[in-house]
Amino acid sequence: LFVLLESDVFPVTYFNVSKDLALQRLLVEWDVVKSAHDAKLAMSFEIQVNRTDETTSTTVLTEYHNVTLDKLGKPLHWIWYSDIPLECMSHAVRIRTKAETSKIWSEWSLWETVLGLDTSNSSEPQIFPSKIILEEGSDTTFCCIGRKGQIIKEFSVLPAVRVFNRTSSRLGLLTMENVRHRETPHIHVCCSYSQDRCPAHAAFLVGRAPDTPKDVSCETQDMRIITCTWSKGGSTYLYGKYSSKYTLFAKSSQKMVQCTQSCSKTCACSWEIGQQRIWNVTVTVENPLGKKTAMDVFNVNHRIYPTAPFQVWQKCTDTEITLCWNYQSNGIELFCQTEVLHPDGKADLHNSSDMHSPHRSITVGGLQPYTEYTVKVRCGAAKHFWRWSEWSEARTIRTKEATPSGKLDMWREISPVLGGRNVTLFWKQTPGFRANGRNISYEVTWEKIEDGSRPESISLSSVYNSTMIFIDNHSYKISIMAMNDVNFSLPSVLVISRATDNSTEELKEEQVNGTDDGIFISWKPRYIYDSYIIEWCNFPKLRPCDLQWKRFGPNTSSAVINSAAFVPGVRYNFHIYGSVANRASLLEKKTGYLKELRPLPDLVVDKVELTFNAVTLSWDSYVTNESQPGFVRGYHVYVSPIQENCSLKGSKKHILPDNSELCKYTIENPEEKRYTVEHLMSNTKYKLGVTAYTGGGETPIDNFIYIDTPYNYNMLYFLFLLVIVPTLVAAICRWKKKWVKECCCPAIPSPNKSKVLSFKEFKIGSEKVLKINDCIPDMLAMDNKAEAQKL
Amino acid sequence: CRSNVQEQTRRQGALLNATAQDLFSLYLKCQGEPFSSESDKLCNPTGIFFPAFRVNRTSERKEVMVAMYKLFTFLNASLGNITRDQEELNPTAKELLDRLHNTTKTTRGLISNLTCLLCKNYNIFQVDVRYGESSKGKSAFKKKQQGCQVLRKYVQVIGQAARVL
Repeated sequence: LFVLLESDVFPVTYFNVSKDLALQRLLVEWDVVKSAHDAKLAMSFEIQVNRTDETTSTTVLTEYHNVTLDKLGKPLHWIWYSDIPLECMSHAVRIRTKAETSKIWSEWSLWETVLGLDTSNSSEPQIFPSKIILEEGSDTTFCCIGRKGQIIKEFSVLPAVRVFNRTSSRLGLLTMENVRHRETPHIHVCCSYSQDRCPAHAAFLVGRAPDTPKDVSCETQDMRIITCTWSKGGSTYLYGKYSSKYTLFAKSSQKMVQCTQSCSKTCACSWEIGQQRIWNVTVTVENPLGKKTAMDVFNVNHRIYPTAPFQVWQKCTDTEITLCWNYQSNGIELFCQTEVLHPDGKADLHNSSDMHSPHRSITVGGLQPYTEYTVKVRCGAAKHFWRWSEWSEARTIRTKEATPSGKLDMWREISPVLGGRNVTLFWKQTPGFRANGRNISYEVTWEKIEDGSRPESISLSSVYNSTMIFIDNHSYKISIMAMNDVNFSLPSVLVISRATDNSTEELKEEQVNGTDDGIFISWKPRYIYDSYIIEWCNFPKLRPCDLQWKRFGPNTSSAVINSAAFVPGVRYNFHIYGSVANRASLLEKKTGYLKELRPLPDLVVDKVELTFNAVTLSWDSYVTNESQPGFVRGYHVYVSPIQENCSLKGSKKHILPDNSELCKYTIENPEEKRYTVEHLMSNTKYKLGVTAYTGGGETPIDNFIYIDTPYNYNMLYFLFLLVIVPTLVAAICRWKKKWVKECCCPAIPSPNKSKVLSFKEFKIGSEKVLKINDCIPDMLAMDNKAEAQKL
Repeated sequence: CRSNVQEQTRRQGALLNATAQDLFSLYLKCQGEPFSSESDKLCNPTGIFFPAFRVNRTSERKEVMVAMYKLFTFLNASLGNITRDQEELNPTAKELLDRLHNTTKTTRGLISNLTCLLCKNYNIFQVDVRYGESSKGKSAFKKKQQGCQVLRKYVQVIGQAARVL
């Protein structure tokens, strides 16, 4: 029985330190007394590492190592990895012990020293570590040791990087953190006793440990040889003898295989499996900086990658293709898939179900007649599917011809002529129409409805899409069919009613508007019709005009018509027909532009009638019909301001680009080509202009007319009469006032004032008596009157 | 010997002369620092052996041929060492390796012509050639340095050789 006292100590009995320069580590080995082993003591060991250079000694590590001893009595081990090369400095280790139940540590052992490099005989400094390859991202300390008595003056890394440098006498230390790979593969370290020479250099490669092999995959095509592949990881920056080496190790219950690869181009190993089915594969990659492993365990029966099917042949009908092939099964049950590539690029996959027939085949139906398909087939294991084989050789097959499907769309243009009508028929293939054959032709037939006379027909090759026939004024039924080497399509029928003498009521043409997507057409729905047709010409000014048409269902009452031929500034006319029982009737007429442009040519005023206070402008010759690139909606008349403002009724201010002002009058009737500007001032200059406008703009205001209004002579006359004449008269009257007075307002004679009475007075009583001899008479008159005679 | 061997030899010498400086510059670039910036110090050829080339146009033709032979045979061996070392130290420097291969090929062609001329014109069947120190077993830095010393000297001598040919 072993009794442990708290005061018991167990000093080391054996202690050894050695260095591993390859891995830059110290290996420490020690032991204690046998009794401690026998007692299986739990012990603590305190280990110290000291580093010594010429001048200093530093404890770099103190570590506790706890161990429970066993009875085997084997020595204990401890490893320490040095952060600086062991060659650079001497290292010493010591150790002391304590049983866990004890409180007392043993005495320290003596220092066990591992010396640094003795360079006393070396003329040049030496650089460590001696290993050539550094790991990217690591922190590395280089040291340079010089000869005794020499001082290290130069110690650097090239290309220059930020480093921590300590140099003292014959030892230089240089630490690079996070070593990086550069364009040139080496880092050079220079060490010298002088600053202008560098006798000691070392070159280091910076690389990476390899990545774990990826995508390890093993498979067989023939159940005899298995091939394993994998992919490399990223670059390690190490090449040649330092590049990664791959080793594959494969093991089954009775077999082992090894294969080494450099993976320069491909990473693959193959071997014969014999009868072994279960395999355990390990792929190991190794370079000087590390080693990684990937594994794969599999059953060969679950890793079958068949060879591609071969000897492919086919047969077909108009709607089916049957594909047959052969494959190498090696006793494995396979399951196959066919791809059928349509002309439009769509691909369908079809799985074959019957794998037990001696000929492997598949029939694909629902195909289009007379159409080329490309087919190919691949196979995979039916049980434990792993992957598809490569596709077989592709075969291109055309299905057989069949009856044309769908109908043609036919329309007509009727021109009355003497004795009847010329009917130009147009046709096109509907979206649902298929020729289903090689040689297509068209057969047009027309017959009089009323008397059931023998129909007439013509046959046209596929290059034609129109023809003209003559019919009399009776009703006719016209039909068209497409024909190939197999059969006819269903006919498309038009009925043209008998010609009537009454001219149909002229339909009013309505204007329609263009949009970004085309010309918008709407019409009033009438419920008796089973379809509507809109007809127009792509090139209205040409002959033929390239007639186009489009059909709409009974529930449609509007559409946006677009055509690649539509251009701005051209007026397009649309006729809307309603159709019932294949008989079409004209319902409405529309006209419009995709996009209106401003009118052409510029408006020129034909006539100017001028008075002192008004001017009348006329432009009767200006054309407003369909030759215009837009609907002429009216005119603008521009006048320079009257009394410096545009306050007259109907007038708006308009600023020209040169900032001058004009007054603008608008006429909203395109047929009104005459306008009078009133309230002008006489004897004044005016500037006038007239423009036409459409929905796309107006003609430029360039051609101004300049007028001078004449004097207002009436006013002058009036002024003359009213002012000048009275003034003159007044002046004359004043000048000749006596005359005027005597003439106009003579004084009433007064006898007392009369001359007669100026003579010497002779009074008889109160009366003055004129003595004859006082007066010299001017005139004598004989008065034979009785009174006078009495006198 | 071929009828145009003299002309061919002269052209080969001219080609080597024309490409020597570029080869040396590229070599320095691929070794990295400090070779790129301190080639004067590091690549000084005084520490290595290089065959003497002390002939000129007035020298006896036979002497010229022998000196040429020694020079290019030495160069061929050195290029072999340099190429081997660079394949190990700079395996991704494709352009440098291509140039080394091309220079080696031209040098071998030149040697072949010189061999023929020595034999035919001067009845010389054997010439003692001294080769430089092999770089095998040396440190990576020493291999690089030895290569640049040889190439630097080569650049200096090939001009003389091309003028004499």
